Amino acid sequence: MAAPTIVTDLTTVDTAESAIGWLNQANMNPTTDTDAFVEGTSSVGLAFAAANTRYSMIADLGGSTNITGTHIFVWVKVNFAICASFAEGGVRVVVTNDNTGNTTNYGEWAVGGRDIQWCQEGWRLIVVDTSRPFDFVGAGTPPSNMTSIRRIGVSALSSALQMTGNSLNVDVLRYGTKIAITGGTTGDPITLKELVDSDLDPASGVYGIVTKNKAGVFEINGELRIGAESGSTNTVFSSRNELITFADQPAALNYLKIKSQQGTGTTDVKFGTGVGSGDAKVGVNGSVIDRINVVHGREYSLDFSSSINLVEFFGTTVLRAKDGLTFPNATGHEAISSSFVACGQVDLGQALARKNTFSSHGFIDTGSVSIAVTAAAVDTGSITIDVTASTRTFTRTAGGSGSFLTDGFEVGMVVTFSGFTNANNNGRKRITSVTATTIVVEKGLVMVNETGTADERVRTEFAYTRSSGSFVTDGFIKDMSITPSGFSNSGNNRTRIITNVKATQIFTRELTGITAESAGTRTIRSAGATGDGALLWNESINIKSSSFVGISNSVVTAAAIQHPSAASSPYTYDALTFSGNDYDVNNTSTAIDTGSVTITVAASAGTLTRSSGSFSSDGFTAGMTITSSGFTNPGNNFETKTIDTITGGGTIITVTDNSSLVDETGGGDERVQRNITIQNVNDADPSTFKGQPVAFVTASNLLVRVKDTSSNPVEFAQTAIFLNDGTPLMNEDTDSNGEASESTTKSGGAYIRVRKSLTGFTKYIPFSTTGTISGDFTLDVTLQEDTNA
Amino acid sequence: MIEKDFKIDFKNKKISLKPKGGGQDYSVRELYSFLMDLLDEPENMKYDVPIESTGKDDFALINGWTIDEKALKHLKGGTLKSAA
Repeated sequence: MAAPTIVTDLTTVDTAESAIGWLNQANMNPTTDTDAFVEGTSSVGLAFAAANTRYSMIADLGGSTNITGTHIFVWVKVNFAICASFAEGGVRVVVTNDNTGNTTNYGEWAVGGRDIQWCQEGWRLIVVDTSRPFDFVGAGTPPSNMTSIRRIGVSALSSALQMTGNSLNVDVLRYGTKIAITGGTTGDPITLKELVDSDLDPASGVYGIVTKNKAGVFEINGELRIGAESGSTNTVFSSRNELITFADQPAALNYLKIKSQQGTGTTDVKFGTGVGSGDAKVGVNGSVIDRINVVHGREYSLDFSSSINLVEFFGTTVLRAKDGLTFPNATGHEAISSSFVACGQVDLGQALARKNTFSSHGFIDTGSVSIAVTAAAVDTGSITIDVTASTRTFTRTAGGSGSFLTDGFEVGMVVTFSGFTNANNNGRKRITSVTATTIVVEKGLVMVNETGTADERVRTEFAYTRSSGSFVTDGFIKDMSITPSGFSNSGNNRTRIITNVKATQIFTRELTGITAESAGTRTIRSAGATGDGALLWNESINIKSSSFVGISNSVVTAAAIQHPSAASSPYTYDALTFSGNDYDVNNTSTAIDTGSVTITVAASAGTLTRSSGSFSSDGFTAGMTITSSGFTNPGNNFETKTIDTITGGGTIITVTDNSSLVDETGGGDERVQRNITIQNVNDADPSTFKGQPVAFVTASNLLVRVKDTSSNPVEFAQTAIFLNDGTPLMNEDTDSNGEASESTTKSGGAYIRVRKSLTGFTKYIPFSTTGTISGDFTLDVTLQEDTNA
Repeated sequence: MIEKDFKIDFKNKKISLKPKGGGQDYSVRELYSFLMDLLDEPENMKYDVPIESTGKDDFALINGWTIDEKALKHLKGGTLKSAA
């Protein structure tokens, strides 16, 4: 069993072995707690001495420190039952420029609360992006940036006092960027279990980049790097039959990931195991990878893009990797029998990809529409509201007018109460139930009975609003992470989780940084940096026998395969099947297009001659596949032909195949565009596309099987098929099975030749025959040994 | 080396002696082996085979191929017939 070695740039601020050096910011001194800890033999804790009070513990960096671009890693445990809610700021990570217990000079990021799952489950590593805007600031001078931070800690807002024991504990506190695991061999790879077992030993580092929850699911809490960034260390990582989830952390966008790296040694990353060989190989024992992000809305990626020794995905299911999955752009890697569900774009590079399924890819997107950020989009205005503290109920007074339901309030909304005499009846709270006359809010700060005086108010702080179209119809739903764009105020462009969605309004859970902004052309899209295609087509891709299913969204724009280049057209789709997709192919290659011009066709010569302009200047070159349109004769409006030559100073295209062409004098509205041509073989069935032109043609499989008179396969027999006009359809050596295969979209009479008379090998009498290519073509050839050669 | 003495003109289907060739004689069988080895190269698969074996040391030019007199003089041993 290989215990991984952890390689990191994290700086330990304090191991929390002693309360010495920790400060509070009023209200309660932290003490050393030897009963509760995750690292070493103790933690630092404090007890809530009163309700509705902020408590904090801050550790010393030893001097003003620049923590810009880092994450803070801190272990926290809180008595959730006496803690305020997330909306109220139940648990926070705090930073200050002061080396004192100054009670006002701080900034804080909300990380938990009694309604947040992790707070209910004991110790948790919190990973906070220090570039996030503060959710709360003290009344004094909060840090204006992260360049001169002196103390870091954790704070909490209580909802009751605790008589004995600690309410809030903090253990080892670090900051930094990278945590990598290295080690293992092919026979004894490092695993997540071994990482957790070794790292979470109190006597060990307890970095917590991977933890394990009560259900046995491995949780990744940040960026897990596999392999050595530099140096000669070899690494072999394996995951089999495991459930892996990325935790909901207030991390930076794109930070949650598994990332491979390799120095001068080798790094192997393996999920599952492969059984069999060649195209018959299948993947088994794979793991399942997913994420939870209902609070902070961070998506994850699997980034194996660096040049490492080996990446294997066998029988593995990747769910909702909205930030995408990338393989090295090299051969030697494999993805077999794996499923990529609701992911961002998958880039398999040049990996051997077989029997995979791509489904449910596609982002939800408004497109460019008029969207505003509206303050108080749902608002009672000043009315009379009573408070019943015991049930946390706000009641419109009997006999009063209006309705919370009519106003638009819904369960799940984070709303702001104001106008109440008691301060803790005011502020942000989340609705747990709503009727026409009552709103009940989640547990949190202690409320006080109060009789309304006609100046109370409930409102949502901000909503993204549109005047036409429908967010619901577009497919936006509760708990979806969204990324708005195009707003002038950068805070309005932050990624957030939807709490509620209506046809014309979206409400979010986190509200920091949102500012009212008038309507303008903007976009809201489901979060995740994703290209518009479930699979990115690498020009050297090696994929067969895979399915693209249900890649669709409500605005019917999702695509299965994105082609960013047309350089290698025509492309072969070998047993790639498509079903229920908005588009099977998205051709995003650069447009090469004549526009409407006058083009004359000379059929017998196979030429397209334009009267002005230049095909060459437009970007057309020999070998390109093209589509034509605008001709009177249907035969001249072809889906695809290949440019043989461009002559006449760039004005004449000669195509390789003049069939279907008819003499025609141009009328001024003819057009030629570069396309990508998809040759479908082995029941591949794409049929729809968007973007630049795509031509689908059904190709014939050509197979020649060569054996000797003893029925043994003959390898290295040169095997050729030519159409009678000399067009080559096949010209290659047979493989170890004695087979040569190709695909073609051409048809007609053909001659077939098989020859092997290579010095040093058994020589055979040349074979020749004729046939007709009109569909799949298979020929068995028996070669006679040539004893005279 | 036979390839230094004999010229194979695929376009005109003609076997001839190179201008500086002829310093050595070859058996017809050696010519046959040379041609067979040449014709299974990918770039030559489009051309008809010029020769066939009709028996031990007996060969025939086929598919319209010819051989000129100078080249013929340097073939010793075995027979080479024209299929026509």
